[in-house]
Amino acid sequence: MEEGQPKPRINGSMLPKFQGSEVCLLGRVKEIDPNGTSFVLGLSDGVDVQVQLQDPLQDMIEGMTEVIGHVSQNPRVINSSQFVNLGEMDFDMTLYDEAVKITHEFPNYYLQGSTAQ
Amino acid sequence: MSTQLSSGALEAINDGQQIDKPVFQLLALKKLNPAASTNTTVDRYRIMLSDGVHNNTAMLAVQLNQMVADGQLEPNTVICLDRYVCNKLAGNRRVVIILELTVVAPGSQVGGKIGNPIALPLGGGGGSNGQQAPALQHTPQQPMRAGASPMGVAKANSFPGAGGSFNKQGNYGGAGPSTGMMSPPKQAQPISSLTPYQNRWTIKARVSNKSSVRTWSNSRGEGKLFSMDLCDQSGEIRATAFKEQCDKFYDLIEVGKVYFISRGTLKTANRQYTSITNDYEMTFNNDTTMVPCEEEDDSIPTMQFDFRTIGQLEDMNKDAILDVIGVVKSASDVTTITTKTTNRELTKRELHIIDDSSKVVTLTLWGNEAEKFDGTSNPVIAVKGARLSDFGGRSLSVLMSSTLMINPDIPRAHHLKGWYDTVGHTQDAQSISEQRMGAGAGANSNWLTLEEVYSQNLGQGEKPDYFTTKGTIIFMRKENSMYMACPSSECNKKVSDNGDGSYHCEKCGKDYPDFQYRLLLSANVADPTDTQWTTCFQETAETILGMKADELGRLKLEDEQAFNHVFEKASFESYVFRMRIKMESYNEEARLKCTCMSVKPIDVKEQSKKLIMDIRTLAAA
Repeated sequence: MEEGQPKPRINGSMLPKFQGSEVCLLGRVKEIDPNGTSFVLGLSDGVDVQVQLQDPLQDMIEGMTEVIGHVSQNPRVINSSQFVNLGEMDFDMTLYDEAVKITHEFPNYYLQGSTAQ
Repeated sequence: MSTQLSSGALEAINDGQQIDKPVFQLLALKKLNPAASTNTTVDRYRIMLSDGVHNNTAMLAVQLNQMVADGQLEPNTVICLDRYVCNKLAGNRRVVIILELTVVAPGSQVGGKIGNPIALPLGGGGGSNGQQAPALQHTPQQPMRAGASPMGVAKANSFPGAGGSFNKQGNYGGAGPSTGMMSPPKQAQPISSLTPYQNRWTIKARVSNKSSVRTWSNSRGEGKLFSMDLCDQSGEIRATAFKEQCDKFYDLIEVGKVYFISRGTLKTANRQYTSITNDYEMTFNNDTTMVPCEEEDDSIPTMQFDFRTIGQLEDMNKDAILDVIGVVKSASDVTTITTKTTNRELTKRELHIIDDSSKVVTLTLWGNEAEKFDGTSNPVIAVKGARLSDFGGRSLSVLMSSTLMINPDIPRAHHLKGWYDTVGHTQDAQSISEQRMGAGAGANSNWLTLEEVYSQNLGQGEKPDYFTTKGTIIFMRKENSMYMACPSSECNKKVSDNGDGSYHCEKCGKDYPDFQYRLLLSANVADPTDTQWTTCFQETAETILGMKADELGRLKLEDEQAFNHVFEKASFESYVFRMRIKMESYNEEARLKCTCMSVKPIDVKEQSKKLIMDIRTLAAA
């Protein structure tokens, strides 16, 4: 894994293609595991993923959150390497989803991020 | 035969009784005088009804024409009259006008004539073939105007002598117990039965729309008017009140309320200006009365629409008048144009509306409606009587006669709003308007980069060019950003200081004790491709600087540091600029002059949507 390299920014429908890769996901926190070891993130195309944390949560998280992590064998489970909690905000998920799709449809115009293992 | 006809009901109705929901067999159906109605787009049907004992003719209200077109009203069909009125004709005969009906048994099932009906005997002097008389009687009973049009005659054939019959209103009203179909005290007749050949009539109608008061001024004088649309179960009609009547009625009339209206002047409708389905229109005169109906009557429909989807517009003829409904996807700013013919200045605003056919069309609002319109939050807009034009693909224009409704409370509007909020707002919609490109596009937003502005030689032509661009202000000239202007409203010309505390305006030719500051800001706007100097006048400059001109003038005199700070703070802000560019000559030197018409802070969501749409369009090309 190349530390510090940009990771592909994807939505829920692209997860199976990125199995085993490290990706960047933006979504809304829906539910937090009582133990604080994982949370459910609702992605821009309506797909929910379970984000597994390396360390249990210290603080409350809510709202928009960006996660960088590995897509596991089950593409709905993400092993988080880091995440940023951005809090509640006015954010247009639908537009974001369109933008993400466009970056993948026209890879020659957008930085794709590294999928190197 | 399982179907039971209401035996004897025809005779009872003809005697003036009210029979609730009678069941009749339809024996024949005939379209009336299509040849004579030159200007008429609406067909009328006369039908022969049988109750098994008697037969008699009846008229079908125009809103039921669709049932004829659908083939539901074949001969032998058994129908139930859910709603009808019975009009008294000359010679003691009556004609039934069917307003609503249900098919009890289709003609194919019934198979043949039920019973052995004979023509209803007439109360007096009608002759044995009385059931045919209404259509054959060729002389209008009360011609009101010498120049009755051929169409008028055709109409009169359908309802001969209806005017005369209402002379005996009291007689009619007392004929039977009123079962609530037409409430006392007045007897109202359906709108569809109005003709110019009657002078004493009353209709009970809902005001579905009321225009604002408009004034006119031409060589023959000036005046004012307003118009309204009236509707009942049978149809609709446009009514116009001029001058005194305009003053008298305008404030009294409330949209949505039901009124008894009598004694207007009827004339042939000018179909060019209205989508109202009626051959006639009404003008209020001195005798016209309009009395509110106190009790709400749910049987009278509210505004009637015949919506076309935007997808259908492509196949329709230019200049068609039609009803349309859609969600406002985006709205342009108000712009001003000068008409070529009359040299009048008109304000307009273009809306891009979308419906679930996933097509977008441009809809132009004019004047007051353009200025007042608020397109934020994507309202649903319904227009009755918009005109289709082929200007730039296909586009729609709201006319003086059109009715505009924002977020109307009708099922179709709620459906569209729901569709737009869930699906429509992200869908790639194809516009059937504006395939115009590049220079000369006055109306559409004409998004360009500055590089494109130069490469397309904008502003080099006879007329100014307009474009929209997203840019950043990189520099503003503080010096001469303001001038001392004439304090009289609307003048705004520069004044000169007389040195004695008074100021002279050359345009007004007057001295004033004071002046007002006005902004004339030169700003350099950059986008990723190039830069452009542009002139910003009062409003746009105030937006950019975030300060009113007089406040800035005060700072300039009192606090230079604060004054400078205003400019520093305003630098490197990005906006969407609407620009006007034109070659102008100063001292015989030609210079491309770019003026900022409007400046808007960037709405990131809107801008993203636009970019996504642009990318999709490029990718599809």
